[in-house]
Amino acid sequence: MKNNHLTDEILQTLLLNEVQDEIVDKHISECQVCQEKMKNYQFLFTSIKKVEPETFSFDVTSLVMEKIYEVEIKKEKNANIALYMCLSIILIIVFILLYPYVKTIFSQFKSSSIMANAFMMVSSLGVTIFLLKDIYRQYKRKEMLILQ
Amino acid sequence: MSNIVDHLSDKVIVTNILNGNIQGFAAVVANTERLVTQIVRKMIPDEDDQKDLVQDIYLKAYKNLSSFQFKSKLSTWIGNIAYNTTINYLQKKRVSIVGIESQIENSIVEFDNSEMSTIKTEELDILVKEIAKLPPLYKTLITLYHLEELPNKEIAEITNLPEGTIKSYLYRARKMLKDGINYHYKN
Repeated sequence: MKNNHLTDEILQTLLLNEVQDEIVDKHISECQVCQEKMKNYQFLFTSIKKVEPETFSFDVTSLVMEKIYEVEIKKEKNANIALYMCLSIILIIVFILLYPYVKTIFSQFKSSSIMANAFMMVSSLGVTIFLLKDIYRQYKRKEMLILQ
Repeated sequence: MSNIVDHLSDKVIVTNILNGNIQGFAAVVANTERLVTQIVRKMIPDEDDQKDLVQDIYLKAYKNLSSFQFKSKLSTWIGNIAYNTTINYLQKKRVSIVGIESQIENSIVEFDNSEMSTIKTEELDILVKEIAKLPPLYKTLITLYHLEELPNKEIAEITNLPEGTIKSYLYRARKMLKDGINYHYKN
C-alpha cells in the first residue's frame, strides 16, 4: 500500500543538512509518523557520536616495528650474502686469470727468509686494514650527514 | 591550506623513511593507528587474526612506500591498504561483507519516545550491540563516517567504492540501526 510519508533516505538527508525543501519541511510539521521517525533518527545520530572508538588490546606500534626490524635485518643479511658471493666469484675469476703470473710471484717468496716474508705479509695486511677502516669511517660520516 | 600542510608533512615523513630512517615509520604507525584499528576491528573479531592483519597491513605499506605518489593523504593510502587487506582476508574466509541483512529489517516498529528517555542509560550499550550486528562493511562505513568524521570522498578513496554507493550503504546501515533499536525497545 502506498502512502505519502517521507522515505528514510529523505529523513536522513534532512538531518545531515544535505537537502532543504519547503514541501518536505511542511510535511514533517504536519505528519506525526514522519516526526516520530525523524526523532528516532535524531536520537541515533546523537547517540552514535557518543560511542567510544574501539582500540586494540596490544601495542600496534611496537608490534609493527618489531616486524619491520625483523624484515630489515633479513634484507641486510641477504644483501651481505649476495655481496660476499659476488666478491668470491670475482676473486676466483681474478685468481684464474692471474694464475700464470701468481705462480712466478710465489716463486720469489721461496728465495727470501721467513722473517722477510712475514714482515711483508704483516705490513701489507696492516695497510689494507687501515685503508678499509678509513673507507668505512668516511662512508658512515656521509650516511650521518644525509640522515640529518 | 591544511591539505597542503598535510601533503608537505607526508612528503617529509616519506622521504625521511626512504632515506633509511626506519624509526620514522613508527610515527606513521602512531598517526594512522586509530583509522586502521577502526577498519580492522570492525570487520575481524578474532584478536590473533587482528594482530596478523595489522602487521601485514603496515608491512605492505612499508614495502610499497616508494610507490606512494602523494595523490591522497598518507593516512588515506594506508587506510586503503588496511581496507583491501581486510576485505581479501574476509573473502578468503568466505565471509559476506554486505550480504548479511539484519533479521529484523522488515519488522519496522516505531517506539514510544517517552519510554526512550527513561532508559537512556542503556542506549549506548544497545547501540553498540546493534552496530556489532551490522554486516562488516556497514560497520566500517558507519565508524568512518560518524566516529572518525571522514568525508564521503575520503571514505571512497579508502574503500574504492563510488560515493553514491557509500551514501546508499550508509542510509541502509542507519535504517538497520534505527529499526534494531526500535525492535529492542519494543521487546
